[in-house]
Amino acid sequence: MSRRALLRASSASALIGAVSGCTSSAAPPPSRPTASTGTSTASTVTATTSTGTPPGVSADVSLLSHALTDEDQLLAFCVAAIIRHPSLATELVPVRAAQLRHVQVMRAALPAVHVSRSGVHQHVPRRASAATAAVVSLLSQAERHRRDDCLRAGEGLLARLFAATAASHAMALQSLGGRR
Amino acid sequence: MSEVAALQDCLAAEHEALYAYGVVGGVLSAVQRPAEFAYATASYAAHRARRDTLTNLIVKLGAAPPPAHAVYAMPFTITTALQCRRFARLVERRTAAVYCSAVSTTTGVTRGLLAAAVTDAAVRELRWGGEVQAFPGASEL
Repeated sequence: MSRRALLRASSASALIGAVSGCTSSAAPPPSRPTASTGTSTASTVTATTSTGTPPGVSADVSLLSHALTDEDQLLAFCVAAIIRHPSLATELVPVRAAQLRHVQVMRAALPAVHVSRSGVHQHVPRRASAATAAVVSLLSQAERHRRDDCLRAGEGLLARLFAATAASHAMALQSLGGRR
Repeated sequence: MSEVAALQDCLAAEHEALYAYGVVGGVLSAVQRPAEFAYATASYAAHRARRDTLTNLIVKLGAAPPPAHAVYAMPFTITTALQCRRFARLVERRTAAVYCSAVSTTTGVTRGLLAAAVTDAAVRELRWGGEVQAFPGASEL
């Protein structure tokens, strides 16, 4: 196993321990508003189900579970956008790759019982420029949410994961020309 | 690691980044790359602002801010615009890693400040020619 793989494995284990080891019974964070592309021509990505986090689970598990749903939706939208608009592949493939890692790492860090698929209805706009705008909108929202999650996380390692994820979204936004 | 120690690490990283951008700015000016020089100047200003914020925070916590060294080792020779960009990316990547590590040992407003610094460093790395990363500052994930 390479040093990088070992590092990844140990980091993932530490995260899993940090998240699943939480025993507090704080209420899960309130649901965030439904994801919206914010463009009139674009259809929306709608979460139709909650993460299914039962009451009484640790606040960190709930936080991570919600974040996973969010990231999963963004990944699904990126995949769909690339399929519908192959001309966007150059700019969206790196974003999709980063999204995939977010989902993989978050899913690996969650106790299995809390992992649920998000009910996502995605509709990619017909125009490529509108599809890019929709991705930008979703990325902006995800960056904001992960920054909030970072502040709310109880475990330091989880806060670090959220900080790095928010920074990744900011990079993706910059690469798509969507950052202020 | 304590919150103070984490902040001291961040400040040490900022001292190093400021030194680095001094070198980068000098080279970019000499090779006449005005647009890149302007961005190096803006990056320098951003790091200087973080340095001042961190210094104040550490003093408020009753600890001593670590001083800057007179000289820092350069990882490679920097005489061209291409080397400047590569060096700037390296500096920002290191800075993001230090801040990201510090995030895990802090809470509240301080954590928010450090997380924002991770984002800023990551975006600067990209603007210097870097690529989108899944976990800037936490590349082992």
